[in-house]
Amino acid sequence: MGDLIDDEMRDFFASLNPQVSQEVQDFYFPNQEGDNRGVPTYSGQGTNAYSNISPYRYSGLAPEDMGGDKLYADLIRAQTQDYMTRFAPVENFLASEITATGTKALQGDLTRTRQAVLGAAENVQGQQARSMGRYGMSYTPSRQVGNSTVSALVGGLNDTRLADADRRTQLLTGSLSGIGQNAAATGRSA
Amino acid sequence: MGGGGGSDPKEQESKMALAEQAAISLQRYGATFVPLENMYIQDTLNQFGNDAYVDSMGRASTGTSAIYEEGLGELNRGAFARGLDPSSGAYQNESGALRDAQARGMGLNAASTGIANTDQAYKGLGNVVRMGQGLATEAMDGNINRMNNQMDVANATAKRDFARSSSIQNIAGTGVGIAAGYGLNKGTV
Repeated sequence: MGDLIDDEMRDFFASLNPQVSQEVQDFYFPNQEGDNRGVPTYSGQGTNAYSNISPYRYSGLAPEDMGGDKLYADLIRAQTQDYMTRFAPVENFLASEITATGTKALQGDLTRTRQAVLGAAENVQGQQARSMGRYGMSYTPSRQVGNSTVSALVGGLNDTRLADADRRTQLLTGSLSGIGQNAAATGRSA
Repeated sequence: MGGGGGSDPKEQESKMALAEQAAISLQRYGATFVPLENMYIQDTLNQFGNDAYVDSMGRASTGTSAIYEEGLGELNRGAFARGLDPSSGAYQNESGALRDAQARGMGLNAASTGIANTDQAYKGLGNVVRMGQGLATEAMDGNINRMNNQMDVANATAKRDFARSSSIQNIAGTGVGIAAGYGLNKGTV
């Protein structure tokens, strides 16, 4: 099936104006660099910013020396360190995932959509060939099969792009939008 | 001597007690909940890995295929029981069209599951961000829930595809209700 699609696609691209052909290929078959980005590395694992807190460190100080204040200051520093070690990298990662039109996951999603649709077509053709073989008939994929697959592929790729654009909006208005407001509020109250 | 010259301010004992209480709470948080949070963060990041996609998309594709296979099997049995020639153009056209629908359903359902996996990974990171901001986290959809949602879509699509295949139903004397009853009403994989 993959060969059939490739041949039809090649014919289709060849029939287009070279510039348009390149644009269509870039849209539906983009550079696959970054498709399998793997699991992002998390640097916060194994850290515990609170392990060095000593609740009674200042208990022996005189009331004029403000031991409670000093202990609170220690706690705030530990919380800040915890935030910077465990959460700030995740915020940075999430923010860096956003692109002008969607997210960096788009290429991977497009590739997976392409593989899923083409793989399913190949799989089902095999099933159909075996099914017809049981009745002593041979199976030759019709041109309609190729058209149907291309149609599903184009629809799937378009949906994938739309989903990615939605995802970008959700990240901007959901996960990340509160951070800037919180940071601004913290800055104003300082 | 003028100017007042009062004694240095003294901290209330209760303030020290509150600070100690907060310190103990944070110690316990660090010992108990930080490792759990880190585990959750790592699990969320793992969802961007290839294994997570292969597992969920494979299940979606197989589950969708099963829906169509059972429906097709029922229609075939009904058709052949009434003496329909499997080499006839009418039968081949219709079964080919249903196979096309099966391929489309399998491919697009698997693709949707992959997209949902990416969404879930980002959603999980959004929760991590909210944890860091001290905001409440929202409940996460489980893998089973997401898979069932995808299979509901596949079921609905399959019913529509079989309903469209009217000529096979007429030839075979079967209604879509039979196909749906045998093969298309299973909500889980």
